[in-house]
Amino acid sequence: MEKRKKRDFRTLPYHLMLLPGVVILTVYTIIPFLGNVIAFQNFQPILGFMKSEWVGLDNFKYMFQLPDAFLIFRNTLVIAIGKIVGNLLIAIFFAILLNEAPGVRFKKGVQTICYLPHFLSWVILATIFRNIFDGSGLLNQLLIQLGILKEGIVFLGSNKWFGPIIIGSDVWKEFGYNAIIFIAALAGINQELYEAAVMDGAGRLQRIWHITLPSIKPTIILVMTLNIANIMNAGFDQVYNLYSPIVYRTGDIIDTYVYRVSFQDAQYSLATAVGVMKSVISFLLIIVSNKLAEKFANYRIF
Amino acid sequence: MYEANYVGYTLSRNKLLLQKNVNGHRKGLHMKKFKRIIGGLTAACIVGSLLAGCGSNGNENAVGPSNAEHSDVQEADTSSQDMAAQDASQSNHEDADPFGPVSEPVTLHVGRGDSSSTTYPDGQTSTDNFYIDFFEETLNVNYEFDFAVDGSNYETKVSMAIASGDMPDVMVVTEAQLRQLVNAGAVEDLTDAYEKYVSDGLRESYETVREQTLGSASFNGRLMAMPGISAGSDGIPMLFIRGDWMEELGLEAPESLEDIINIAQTFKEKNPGGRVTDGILADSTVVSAGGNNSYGVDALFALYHSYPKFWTTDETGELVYGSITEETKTALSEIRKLMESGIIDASFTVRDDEICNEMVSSGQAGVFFGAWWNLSWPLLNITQTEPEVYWNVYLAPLTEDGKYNTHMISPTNSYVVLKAGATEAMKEAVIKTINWINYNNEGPERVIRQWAGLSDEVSVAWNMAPFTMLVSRYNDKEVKAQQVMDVVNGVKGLDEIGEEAADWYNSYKLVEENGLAEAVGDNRANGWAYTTSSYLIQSSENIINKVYGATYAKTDTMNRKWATLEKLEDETFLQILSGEADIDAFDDFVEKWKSLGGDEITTELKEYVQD
Amino acid sequence: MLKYNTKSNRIFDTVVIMLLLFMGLLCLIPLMHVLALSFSDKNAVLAGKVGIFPVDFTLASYKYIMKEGRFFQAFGVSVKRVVLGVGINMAMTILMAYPLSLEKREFPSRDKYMWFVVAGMLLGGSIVPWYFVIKSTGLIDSIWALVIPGAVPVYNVILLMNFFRNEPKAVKEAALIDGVGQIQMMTRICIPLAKPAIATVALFSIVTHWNSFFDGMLLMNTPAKVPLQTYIQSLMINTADISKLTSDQLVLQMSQKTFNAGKIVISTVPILVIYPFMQKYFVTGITLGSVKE
Repeated sequence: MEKRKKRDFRTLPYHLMLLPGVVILTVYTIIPFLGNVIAFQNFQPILGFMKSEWVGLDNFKYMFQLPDAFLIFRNTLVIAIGKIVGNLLIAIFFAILLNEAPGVRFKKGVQTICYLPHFLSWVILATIFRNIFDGSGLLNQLLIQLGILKEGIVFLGSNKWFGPIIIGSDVWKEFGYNAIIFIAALAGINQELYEAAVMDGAGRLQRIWHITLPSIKPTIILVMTLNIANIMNAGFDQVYNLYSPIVYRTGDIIDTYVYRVSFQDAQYSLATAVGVMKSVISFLLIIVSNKLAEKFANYRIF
Repeated sequence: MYEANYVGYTLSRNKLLLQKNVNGHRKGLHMKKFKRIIGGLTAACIVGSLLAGCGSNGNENAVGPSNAEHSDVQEADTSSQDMAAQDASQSNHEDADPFGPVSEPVTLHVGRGDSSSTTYPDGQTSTDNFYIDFFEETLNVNYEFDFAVDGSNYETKVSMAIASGDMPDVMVVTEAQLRQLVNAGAVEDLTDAYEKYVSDGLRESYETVREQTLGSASFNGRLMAMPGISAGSDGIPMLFIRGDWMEELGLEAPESLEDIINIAQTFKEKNPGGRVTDGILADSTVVSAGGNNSYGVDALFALYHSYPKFWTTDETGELVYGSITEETKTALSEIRKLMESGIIDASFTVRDDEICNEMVSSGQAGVFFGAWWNLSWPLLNITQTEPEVYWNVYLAPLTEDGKYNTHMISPTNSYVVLKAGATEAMKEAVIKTINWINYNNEGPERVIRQWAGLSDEVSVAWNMAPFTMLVSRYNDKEVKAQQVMDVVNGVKGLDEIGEEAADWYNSYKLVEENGLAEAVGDNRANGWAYTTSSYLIQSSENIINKVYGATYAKTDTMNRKWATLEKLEDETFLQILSGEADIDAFDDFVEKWKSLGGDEITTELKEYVQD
Repeated sequence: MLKYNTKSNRIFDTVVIMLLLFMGLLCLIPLMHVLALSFSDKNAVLAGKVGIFPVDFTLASYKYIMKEGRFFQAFGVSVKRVVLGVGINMAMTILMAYPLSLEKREFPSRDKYMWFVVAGMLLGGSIVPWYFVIKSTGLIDSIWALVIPGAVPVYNVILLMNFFRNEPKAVKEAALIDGVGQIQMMTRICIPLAKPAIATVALFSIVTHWNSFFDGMLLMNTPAKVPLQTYIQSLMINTADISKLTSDQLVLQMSQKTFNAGKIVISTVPILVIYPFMQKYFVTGITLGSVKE
């Protein structure tokens, strides 16, 4: 009896700490989620949730029956996964490089510069990239001069190159910003481990492999898992600003398609159905990742 | 009365169509809202006589500089009342004065779309300024702005207002939003109020393109919104060629497609200026579904009687979608040849108009198709840094019998709606506000300027009005150009034409006297540019073959299927034109298009049109 | 980091430096290009002549963006928002991350809360219900609309929670032995140990609040209450209106690209200023004295 009381009393502060957050989340995230009922309706804004016609799974069926449904999904996944992997690798690489580099000022400078592209908008970057990748643009000029190409390739118009360019340019833009988490994690590594390793005669590379990487393993897994939640968001802003109908085959993603559909008419129901589907898939993936991480990396994320 | 040449417009039905200016075009992220207020109508017609001519209005008002504040409010008020009274006396409205105060004081809650390019005098804002004061005084209406959002975000804000049921009384909506609102019974029926309060000038403007304007705003025979009117010349492609290069290389004005190709070829070979890389400059929006299409090749399609993205009729009079016709196939294969021969650069599939503007400005290209106002922007811009540069504008390529084919866009793509449950006074207020916005088919700028006693330096812009929607005339630019030339040729006096046309005239004169380079340097050459291109259209009336859409409507099936169809079309066209796919892919495309919903939609539209 | 001045170390260092320089340059050049665009004359920009240095240096772009009082008004709103928003965010984040980081035996209900929070991250209503809820709670057109709905940044909570969890148990146990209470454990031990993570999360929060423009646009009705990014985004001129622009306005229209560049520069400067302050939390290593794992 006593023990239970003590426990309850002990946990009270914790409940109180969580309370405001729970309230806010409920009101502003969970309740709006209930509004996703629109996905099962033929939503007419004026009629509201109550009176709009109920169509069940029609919207979802429509989505999956689109002639290009498979392509759109595939493109989204390919681009999203490419970005997740690419971003992760380069961000970690960059963070480790910074960790190893001499000179505090130098490190700070490079770090600051590299995290700034995150703040450039795709609207302005799109023009820059179009210029670079144009048939007579910088890249082609360079390649022709180097003798690698005989005539220019229209990169952004090629279904072969569009995906890689999207992934690559996003990695370029985000690696500095994404590295921040890893830099913070690296800052927390116990220096004595390194000292011990040096004593044992470990070289730089060995120290990185055996100490640095394992130490940030939890962070890596964490970031990767959280990013998997984003797997259905291949980056609307970027693709929208850079694509053209000729690369629809590899470049059209869920969000751009939905955008065009709702552009024709305010298709709340369809857009919401897509949102619901994305949420459900993300949720499932996160659970799976969590389990996998627990099993293989012995690491609980949640 | 100004008549347009309605060649090829067979299915003129006078009924209620769900219309849409299909503008699924990426260039402006949202549907372009064409908001223009037109200049005066000089060709004497009902309007002119009704409004007792602009000249006498000028005498009526207290002209002359007064203080910046509208001190003589009393006098100014009476003047506008006088004017209105004069109008009313000559109209055939019984009691209602289309420009006079509303029968009882009324408040209108408005959702406003701003424009960041508008500057207001010190201390005034977009929701509180002299322009709105004028309306409030004259009409006895109190405008309350529930929200004021910049134009690029306005549509989203309106969508949200509709979706959350949080609508102000008055908003400017798109066709899609209008349809939703009507279906839900959320907007007021304006038919009777329209009949009672509309000014004759406005009615006139609507009636000349009745189908697209009133037709598109009517459902089941009832007028459910006030449609906007924007200029039709926006959709007529014009050909722009580097004038100084033509002179340097001794090239003549082109008429046929071969002429154009020849010029483009010569530019590439002789490379005047040293930076030429392209022949005919084009971007990935090959054809526009509505609105202007700079760097498109609509004119090349039209040459072969192909009107992609428009609904036309075939030889038997049946409704057909322009993109699947045989003529379109021919056009595609011909244009593809241009691509193969290098006249059109392979990169066009991924270019947008920003890049093309750059290329034109840096001397990489000297030939392209664009809209009438392109002559001003970006082309005058180049002259600013390189004074010897000038551009010519043409209507070409001509068909064998010397005609210039062009599709004609719908004048309406936005609507003013009034929330359901409005009082009679509110309806009156809305109609009258729009009457004033359309005042004299030119807009009330001049009147307001005098009323408020503002000097010429202060900008009086049409988007200061309580409702930011353009209600002008379909042939607005042609009319203005004609006015300018009338003054140039001494047929009219400067004070007889509208304020904007007068602006154009002054600019025109400046260029004539001082030359283009100097006028550009003073930043006063735009009017000249507008006049030049618009007058070309105006004076070419007899060779222009205007092809109106058989319908601009949109059906319910289109909601579900149009995105897929359009994607298929855009992809296929670019693939064929770039050589990635064979011309035979066109036939596959037509089959697919039909089976994926095209036939369904065609049938639906035919039914609409039949009604 | 101990380093002996051996040859292999020097080579390694050189390689590292080269790589970093390369990556830095890759980022720097486009940044300089944008900066150059913002300071260049519109004609040069339109013609695509601007490289990494300004052509025909001019401040026109900045003058235009900052011309009206509205700019400073919006700036003020943004500052207010960041201060309020980050304050609330950090409070929420820490308050939630800590209990969630505890072991089940210490806090049995932890798992339930955890799943609730994860649900909060993944599930989201579409815009319409979200807007509706905000309207119903009366937040529209007030600064609270920008701060309250997003008060719980779940991603950050999870990050911080993990960080707390991974703090060396030895330290915590030592503190327990010393008789530290629950709250003190949190304030005296866990939070100070988590400085890099807290700095990270704070930075993310600041950046998010500073950069967001969509909620400002949707939830604010009065132009005067709009945050900086929303205001700046609105300074675009619709191409459709071109022929209706007066000559002065046309000049502005032509400078669209320089304005866009200028907007980005202005928006980024405050972030640039903040970052060095945050960096000191990242760079210093944390040595734990004599605790042997």
